[in-house]
Amino acid sequence: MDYERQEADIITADSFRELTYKQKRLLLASLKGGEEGERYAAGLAKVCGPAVYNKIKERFYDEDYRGEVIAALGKKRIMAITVKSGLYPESLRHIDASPLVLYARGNAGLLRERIFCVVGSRKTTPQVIEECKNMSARLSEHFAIATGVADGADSAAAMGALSSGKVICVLPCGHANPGATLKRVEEKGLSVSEFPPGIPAQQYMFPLRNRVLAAISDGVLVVSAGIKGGALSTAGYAAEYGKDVFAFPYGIGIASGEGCNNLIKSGAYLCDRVEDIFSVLGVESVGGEKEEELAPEERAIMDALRQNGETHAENLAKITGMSVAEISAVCAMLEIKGLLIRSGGNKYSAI
Amino acid sequence: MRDSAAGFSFAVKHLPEVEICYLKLSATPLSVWTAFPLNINKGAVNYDLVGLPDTAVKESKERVFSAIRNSSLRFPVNRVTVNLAPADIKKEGGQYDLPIAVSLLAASEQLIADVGDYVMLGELALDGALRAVTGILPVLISAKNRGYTKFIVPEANANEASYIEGISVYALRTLREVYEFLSGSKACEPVQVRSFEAAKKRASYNCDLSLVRGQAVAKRALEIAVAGGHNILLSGPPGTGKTMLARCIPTIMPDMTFEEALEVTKIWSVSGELNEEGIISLRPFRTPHHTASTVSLCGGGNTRIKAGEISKAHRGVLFMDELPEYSRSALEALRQPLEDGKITVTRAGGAVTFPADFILCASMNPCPCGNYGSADKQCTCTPAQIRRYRGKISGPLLDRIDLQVEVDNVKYEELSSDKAEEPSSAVKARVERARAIQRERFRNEEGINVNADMGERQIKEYCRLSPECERILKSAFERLNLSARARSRIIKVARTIADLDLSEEIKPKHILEATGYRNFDSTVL
Repeated sequence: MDYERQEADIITADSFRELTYKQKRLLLASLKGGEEGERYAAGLAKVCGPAVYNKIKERFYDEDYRGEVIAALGKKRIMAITVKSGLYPESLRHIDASPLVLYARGNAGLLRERIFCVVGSRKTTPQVIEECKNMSARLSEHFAIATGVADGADSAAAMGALSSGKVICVLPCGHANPGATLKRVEEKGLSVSEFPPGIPAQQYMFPLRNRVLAAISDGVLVVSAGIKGGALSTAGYAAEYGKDVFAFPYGIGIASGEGCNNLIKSGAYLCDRVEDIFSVLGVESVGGEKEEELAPEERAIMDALRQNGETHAENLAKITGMSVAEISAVCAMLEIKGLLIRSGGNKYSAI
Repeated sequence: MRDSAAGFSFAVKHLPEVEICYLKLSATPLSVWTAFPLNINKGAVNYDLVGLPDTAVKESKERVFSAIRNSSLRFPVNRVTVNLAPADIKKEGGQYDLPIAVSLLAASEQLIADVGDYVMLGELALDGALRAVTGILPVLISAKNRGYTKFIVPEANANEASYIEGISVYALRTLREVYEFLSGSKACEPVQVRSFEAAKKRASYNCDLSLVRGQAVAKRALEIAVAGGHNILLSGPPGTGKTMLARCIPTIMPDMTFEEALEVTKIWSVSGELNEEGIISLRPFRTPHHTASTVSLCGGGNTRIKAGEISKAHRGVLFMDELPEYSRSALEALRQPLEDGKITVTRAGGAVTFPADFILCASMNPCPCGNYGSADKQCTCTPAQIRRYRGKISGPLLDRIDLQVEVDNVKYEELSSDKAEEPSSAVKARVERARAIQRERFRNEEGINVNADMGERQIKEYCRLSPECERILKSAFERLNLSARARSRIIKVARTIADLDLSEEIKPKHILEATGYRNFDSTVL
């Protein structure tokens, strides 16, 4: 892929691992030339020492080095979206220390769509995982879904959105060989990172990633979060950037939901159906809940579940008067129809 | 046979060593020959035992010497050679003592009788008493097939020997008795044939499904598993009664036929684990600990190849508690016997095939801490940990476990309630009905007795799915994130459910119920 000179400058500047973000900015500013440029160059030389400065300057203008950097990206099928690029999300320009380059692999056009962020914690109950998948699938009809790549809720959100292919995974590290989930994401969707390829994830990089997630999205849905956690940091950034924050409500004493409840207490929207998000973000949802034709016994089970919440198969049998074998069969049908899920221990709950 | 310079020798026929006899049914019978070769140094006493004896057989020299002396008989003062023929089969164990002693007595003309008609087995004590030996039953069966009808066994083995019809078994206590019996100075009645039915009545399982409270889902799954011969995996938090449920599986299996009982007894007999009764009339239930080695599970040994746990579970249940804790190699070694119903153990000393047709019942926690999916307890494992834990059970092994079912915590109220639970006998009746249908179905199929044995060809032939069922199965796969290999398992289980329902065709509800037993096929996020 060919980049314009200006973009190539930025990509090259970003490839210097020995420079900090600020120093890269100085380096780019020094290109302006004239007196101002001189001043920036002097500033850079001062902060990183004349030896390093000279080495960097030499490499920066070395055409071979520049060619190598760009060829390496091309080899990994990575597209560099610089701040000068038209694909660079507008909202990302307005935050502090906005990334110089977004390294993207997959369908980069997704960055032009309206983006909604769905995040949650690694430890999420199976029921919420299922709910998150469904919600993410519904949301992806109108938004591209941005999320992380962690196990649990993030993966569920990605999997849900994969049905439409509109999924953007924002990585906390430079691109490397993708895992199974990420591979599937990159086939139809997109993976994005502000870190040059090959940089391993470190603890400080996760909040940076979260700020990108929050910045590129119109809103953030937190499906699960403990008292502390990455999902809360994403929600925090979203609030700071003036984005809408949504959270699933939880019952008392569920550790993986305390963070969500705290968010709601401090003003996040309570979200238990996708329409809650659509109405706040002004999306006309078409169709809405499809009421499927239910057989009488299916109806009986759904009614029992709606009334009693999570119910054990044996109790369902008692309530409906069916045998456990019949309950298993009917519940499997309802599960296929997407109306209920098994929540472990032979219990079922309605969605 | 006149193979000695001294002029005469005498043969006492004796059957091959137990395992070989049982496992290679065409093995040549062993004979014991005693000879007094030309003695150059007259008066020198020499006693040789030849014919590839192992240590236990070599030591029989001392036992036989002492036993003969203590039975008021004379040990020949001469040069003696005892030959165990054929010479190329390794002889092991103590059961040759009796034939060697009798052969010596006959060769030294103290015993004038046609001893070659008898098959004898028995270890001698120093005082001349006959001690029990292992593996009597397989010897009797294979010797009977070769046309032998008269047997002498230690009295302690009488029960075991009493279930075979058409032969005369004489159970005797001492070498002196054998001597008197053979020389005709003392009459002796053959052991009375005992009926298998009576033995079956005397034996009973000490657990019953009616003692398990609640767990209707798991019980239903057990019923399906036994009806179709499917292997089953129970997953659930610790202390939910997985072991108790597993113990009930034999109680709902159809009673063993006499042929099956003999198969099982043979294996237990050579392993020396036979009980007083002398026959195994209850379905075996084996629970090897998860530290068990691959060899102890599958069978092995250097010179004397022994049956492993999976063969001792033949026609019964192999219960593997905490499945992921077993060593990887032990688990992988199960794959082939699960497929073939037998295992061939190959060692330098030869290859031996043991039957191993059992229902595998495995249990495991849903995750390392045990609380994944539990409503009232918090799971402290990360998804990666859970995946790693479940990953210990390989896909190919999981492929051979048709049913995967969750066992859940029983509430205290249910434990203490007086609600009558269905007894095993009622479930067994349904299972037997479903098995009868399967017997009829697989009448012309070699080696296929139950639905679980079906291969792809049989699935195509006997499990035709209506378009509606196909549609449901397809949407189930998409919706429930099932792996492709779950398909034939679901169909086989659906076939069994239909059989339990006495339904000729597989209906949508059968398919649906079958998809419910597939916990481990969906991916953990």
